[in-house]
Amino acid sequence: MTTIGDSHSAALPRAWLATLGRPIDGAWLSAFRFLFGLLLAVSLFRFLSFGWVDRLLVEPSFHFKYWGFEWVEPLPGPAMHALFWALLGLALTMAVGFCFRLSAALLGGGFVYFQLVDVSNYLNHYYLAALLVWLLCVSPAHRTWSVDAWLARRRAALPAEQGAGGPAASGSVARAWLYLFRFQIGLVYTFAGIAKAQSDWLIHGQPLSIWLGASTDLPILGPLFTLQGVPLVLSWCGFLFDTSIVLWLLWRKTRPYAFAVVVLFHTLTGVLLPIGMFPLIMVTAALVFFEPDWPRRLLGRLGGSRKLVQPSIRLSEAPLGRAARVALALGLGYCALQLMLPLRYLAYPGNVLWHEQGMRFSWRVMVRAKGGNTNFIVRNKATRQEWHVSPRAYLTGLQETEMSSQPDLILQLAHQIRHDFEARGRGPVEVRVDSRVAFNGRRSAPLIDPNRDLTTIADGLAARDWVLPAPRSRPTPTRPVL
Amino acid sequence: MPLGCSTDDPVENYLPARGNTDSALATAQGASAQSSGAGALGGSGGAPGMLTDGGAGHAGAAGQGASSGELSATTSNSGGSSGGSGGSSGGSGGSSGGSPIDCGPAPTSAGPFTKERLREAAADCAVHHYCEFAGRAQLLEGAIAEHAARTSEASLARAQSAWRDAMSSWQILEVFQFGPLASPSASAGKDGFQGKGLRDKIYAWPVVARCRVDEQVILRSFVERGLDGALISGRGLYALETLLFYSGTDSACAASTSTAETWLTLDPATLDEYKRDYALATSEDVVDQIQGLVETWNSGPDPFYRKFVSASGYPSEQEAMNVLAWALVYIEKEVKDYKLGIPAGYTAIAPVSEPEAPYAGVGYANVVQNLLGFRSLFQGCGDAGAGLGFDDWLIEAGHEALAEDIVSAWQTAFQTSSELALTTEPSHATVERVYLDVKALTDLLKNELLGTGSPLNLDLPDSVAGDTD
Repeated sequence: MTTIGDSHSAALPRAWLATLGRPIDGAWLSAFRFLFGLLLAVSLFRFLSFGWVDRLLVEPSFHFKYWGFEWVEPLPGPAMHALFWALLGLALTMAVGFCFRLSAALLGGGFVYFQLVDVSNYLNHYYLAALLVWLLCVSPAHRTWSVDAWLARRRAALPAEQGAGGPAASGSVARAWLYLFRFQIGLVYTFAGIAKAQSDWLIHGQPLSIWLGASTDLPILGPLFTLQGVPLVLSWCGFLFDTSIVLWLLWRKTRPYAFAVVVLFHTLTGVLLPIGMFPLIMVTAALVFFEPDWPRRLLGRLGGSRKLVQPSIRLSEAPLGRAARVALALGLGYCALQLMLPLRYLAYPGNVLWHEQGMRFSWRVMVRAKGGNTNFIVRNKATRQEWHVSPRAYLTGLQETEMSSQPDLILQLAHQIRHDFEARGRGPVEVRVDSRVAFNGRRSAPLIDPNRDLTTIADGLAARDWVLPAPRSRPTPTRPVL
Repeated sequence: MPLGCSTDDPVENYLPARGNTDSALATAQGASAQSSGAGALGGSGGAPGMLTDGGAGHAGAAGQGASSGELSATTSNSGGSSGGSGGSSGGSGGSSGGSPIDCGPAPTSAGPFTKERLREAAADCAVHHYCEFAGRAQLLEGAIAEHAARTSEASLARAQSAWRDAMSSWQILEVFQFGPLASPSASAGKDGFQGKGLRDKIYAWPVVARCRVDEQVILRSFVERGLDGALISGRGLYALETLLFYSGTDSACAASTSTAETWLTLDPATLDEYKRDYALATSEDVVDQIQGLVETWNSGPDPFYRKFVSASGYPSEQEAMNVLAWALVYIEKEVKDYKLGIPAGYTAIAPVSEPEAPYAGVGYANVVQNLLGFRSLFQGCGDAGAGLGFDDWLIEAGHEALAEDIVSAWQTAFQTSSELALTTEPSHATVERVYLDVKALTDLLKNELLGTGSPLNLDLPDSVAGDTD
C-alpha cells in the first residue's frame, strides 16, 4: 500500500491535506458513538431474546466457512450466549465512552467472530455494523461526552469540556474523520443504487413486485401496492433515492429535507421488509452528513445546559505530524479497498446476482428474490452405487435456503458430504448436484452444472465455470394481490 | 422426539438408491408380511423417532397389501373422483356403515380471489374434513366397542374396516396441518403461532413405537387417568392399528424391560382383553381429540376459525399465508422423503422408526389420500379441485404457468400413486416411479412456490430466523 510518507505527501495538494487535518467539533462523532452503540446493544439483545444465538450459531451441526477462515469454530452454546451478553455490555460501554478503545476493539472483534462462524448468516448490515465499530475504535470518538474524557478531566483537575487534558479530553477531531464516516455511509447508498441499475429493477419492477405482495394488508398503503405500475414506480423511487441521497445530504440547503426523506424511506422499508435494525442504523448513520456541531445545536434548541451547548474546545490548527499522515494514508487505503470490493464483480462474466461472485461486501442490498432447491447426488467411483443426500441431513432450514442460491456454499457442502462418505469407507465418491433456482420471478433454472463432480473443484477467486449462466428470460410480471 | 432429530453421523443411515435396492425391498416385504401374520415385527422398543439404519427393515412395507377398497374416497371431495387422472376408485372399502354425521358436500367458494378468501376456503375445507373424520372416528369407536363386548372374527373385521376408513379420512387431514392441529415446534415447520400439536395425539407417525403401545396395554393407567399421560408414539390411530391388525403375541419392548417381563406372565386371553380395553380407550380418546379440535375452531369467545380467516392470530397476513402454505410441504417431507423415498432407496436419512401402516398394509393408499388432501388445499376443496386454492393466487399474481405445472405434476403423481396403491407387491421400479413423480411435484413446490424465489413471497418452513437485507 502506498503511504503518505515524506516523499508522497509533497505530491498531494497541501490545501487538501490541511483541510483533512483541520480540527472540527467532535460532537457529531460522540453522538454517533452513543446512538450507534445503543443500536448495537438493541441488536445484540434481539439476537438473545429471539433465540437467534441458538438457531443461527449453536444449533447448526454444519457451518459454512469463509474462505481463509475455515479455522473459525463456533463456541459451545453457553459460551456463545455469554459472548453475546458480553458484546451487549461492550456496546453500552462503547456508547458511553468508557474504556472506549478497549470496548470498541473487543466489540468489533466479537462482531467479526460471530459473523465468521457461518457464511449463511451474512447480512450487509451486520458487515456495515462491524466496519463502523472498527472505524469508531480507531477514531477519537471518546474525546467528547464520554466517561473517558470525564475521567481524564478529573485526573487533570480541569473544568468540564476544557480540552487541555490530553487527547482523551480534547473536544475536537480532525475533519478527515467526518469525511471518512461520510464516505463509508455514502458508499453504502451509492452502491446499493448502482446495484439497482439493471432491467429487473428498473424495467420489470422485480423483485419489489413480489415483496410488495406480502404487504397488501397494510392500512392505506396495502391496496395501493396492487395498482398497476405502483411497484415499478416504487422501484424507481428506491433507485433514485439510493443513487442521489448522498448528494442531497451533502448539500447544506437540501440536507434537512433529504434527511426527512431518509427517515421516510427507511421507515417504509422497515415496515415492508424484514430488515430488522437496518433502517435505524442507516437513519442514525445519515446524521454524519450534518454539520459537526449538530448535536450541540440540537441540545441548544432543546434547552440543554450551557456547558454542553457551548463548549470551549480546541480548534487550533497545527501542522500534520507523522502519525497523522500515516493515519491519513491508512484511511485512504481503507477507502480504496472499500471502493474496490463492490466493484470486484466486474472481474467475473455473467450476472453477479446469479453467480454471486462479488456479491458479499458490495452493498447489493435487497435486489434479488432468489431461492430454490439443491439435492446432492453421491456416487461411488468404483461400484457406481448412488445415493441422494438432502441438505436437510446437514443444515437448518435457514442454512438450506441460503445455500441453495449461493454456489460457493453448495460447493462447501459437497466437499463435506464427500468427506463423510469417504471417512466411513464408502469412497472414493463423486458428488454432483441437482440444483434449480427461481430468480426475481422467473421460472426456476439450473444453477450448477449437474455433470460436474464438485469434489474436483476447489473454491477460489477464479471465475466459476461450474456455475451455469443466468436465465436470459424476462421476469414474469407479478401482481401484488389483496 | 422432534421430527428433526438426527444422528451425528448421517452417512450411517444412507440407503443405496440403485444397485441393491431390489433385494432390500424384497427383504423388507418379506419381513413385513411375516410381521403382520406371525408377530415377527422386529421392534426394538427403542425411542420413537430414532434414526433407522438402512432401509431394508422398513422399505416397502408401507405398500404391501393395499386392497382396492382401501383407496376409498372418504370425503365428498375425493369420493369417486379421479381428479382427472383416473386413479382413485370409489366405494367405501368395507366401511362399517354411513357416517353418523352429515357433513354435506365439500365446500367450494367462488368469486374473485383475495388472500382472506383463500384462508376462508382453506378453513372451511379443514372443518369439512374434520367433520368427515369425526364421523369415521365415531364409527370406529362403535366398532371397537362392539368388538370389545362381543369378540369375534367378524367384529374384528368390522373394527379393522372402520379403522381403514378413519385412517383414509385422516390422511387427507395430514396435509391440513395448520392451526391447533399443527405442531408449534419451529423444527416441525408447521404453525409456530397457533399450533397446539393436537395432530400428534390422534396420529403421530413417524414418531411411533409399538413398544409404547405395549407399555400402555400392560400399565393400564388409562383406566384411571385416561390417555393424558400416554406418549404420542403409543396412542391414537397408530396404537389402534397395532392393536387391531398386529396378530403376533410378542411384545416389541426389549426383553429386559418390565413391560416385556409382565407381558410374558399374562395368559393370551388376559392379554387380548387388555389390548381390547386399550383399543377402546384409545378410540374414545381419538373421538374426544377430534371433537375438541372442532370446538377449538368453532366455539368459545375467540374461535380459531375467525382468527385464521382474519389472520388476527398471526403477526401478519403473510405469516398466516406462510403457515397455510407450509401445510403443503407434508407432501415433500413426509410423503416424498419418508413414505416413498425410503422404500425407493432415495432417502438417505430420515427420522423414521417404522414405515407407515405396516400392519394394515395401507401405506401407499395413504399416499393417495395425502395427494387428495394436497389438491384440496392447493386447487380447491370441491370435486376435481373446484374452489379457491393456491393455484388461484398464482393465477391472480400473474404466474398461471406455474399453477398449471403444479396441477399437471399433481395429476401425474396421483395417477401413478393410485396404481401403486392397487398393486399387491409393487416392484422397486414402481415405487421409484411414484417417488420421482411426487418429486417432480415437490420440486415445483420447493423451487418455485415457496422460498426466497417464491413469486408469492412465501417462505419455506423453518427458514426464517433473524433479519435479512
